[in-house]
Amino acid sequence: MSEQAVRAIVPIIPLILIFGCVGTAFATHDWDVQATLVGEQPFEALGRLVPAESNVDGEVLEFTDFQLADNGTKLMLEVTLHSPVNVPVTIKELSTEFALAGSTVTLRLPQEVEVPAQGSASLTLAGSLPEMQDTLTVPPLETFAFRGMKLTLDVYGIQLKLEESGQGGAR
Amino acid sequence: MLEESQKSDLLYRVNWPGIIAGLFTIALPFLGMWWQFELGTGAVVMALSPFGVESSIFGESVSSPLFLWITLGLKLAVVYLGVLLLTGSVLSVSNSHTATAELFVRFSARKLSWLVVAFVAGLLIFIVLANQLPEMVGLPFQLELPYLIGTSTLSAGVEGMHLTIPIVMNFTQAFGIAVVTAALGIVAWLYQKKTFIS
Repeated sequence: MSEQAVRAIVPIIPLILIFGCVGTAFATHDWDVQATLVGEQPFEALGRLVPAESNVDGEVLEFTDFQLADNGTKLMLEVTLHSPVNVPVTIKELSTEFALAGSTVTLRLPQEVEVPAQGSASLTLAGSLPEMQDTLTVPPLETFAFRGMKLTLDVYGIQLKLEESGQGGAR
Repeated sequence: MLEESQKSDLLYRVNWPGIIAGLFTIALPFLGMWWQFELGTGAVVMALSPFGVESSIFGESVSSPLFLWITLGLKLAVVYLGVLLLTGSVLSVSNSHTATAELFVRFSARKLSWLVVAFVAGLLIFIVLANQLPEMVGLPFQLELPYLIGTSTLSAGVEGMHLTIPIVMNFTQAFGIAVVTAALGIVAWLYQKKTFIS
């Protein structure tokens, strides 16, 4: 091969390789520009996080039970969380409060809870009742009006804090 | 005596930095990604190099076919440059192929440094634009992405809701090898110039 031919061919080969690959990309996707450029839409990947058919029939947060503990000085509220999303979620903080016989009772999640992807987790919120309330009869759960709910979720290191304000109390 | 002198002349004519740079250039596309970007702890991960893109959103892999093919083309092109550099560096010993060796080394030796510079410049432009974007489109938060390396936190909030996303960016070891290889390529180019012009 003559030197002139080598001089001509050497710089062309990388261009042939790169443009050949670009051409192949379009050819293997039926010359559809969108399919070649984007492939699977990123939004579809995001969509898989919240499936169209969720296995959660009822509410995401379900208050199941409450009980008095420590001789009636502590209130324990049982909550079941049904995760509608396809990723594991950690509940870093959950607290809520309600008014009871003129006092505000704050219920908190004592420790972080991990909720599996599309799974359920049982949460126990605990809060101290005012001392003077030792003879108090706690009204039924349905009559509680929770307020000031604070929720901190951690999804893959992304923290979402939700804070609710409003009035509430035991009716 | 004459034989020894010829041998030492041959050794001198071999472009040793070119041989090393050529071998590294051939290996480079297979050493992995150069730069990594992460939102949260694996929420969004993007690893980039001119030879590949790996990205995932919440563990779901996302890719563009065009990008994959372009990076394959670049991979092949860089391997080709490595082969040229290696061949040119060895071919320098042959008197009859000096011009071809010169052509091979001259063509291939500095291309990797251009690629490294273009890669870093592209990333910088992207980060500058991304940092300006919220202000330009009137989003209710400020984006302060670190410039190529570092960590920061994206905070955004509306009434009753606050979002915090840690951001981490860093170069990988493969990028360090790319920089060293690019530098060796420049040394090889200078060596070739010095040896065959003098």
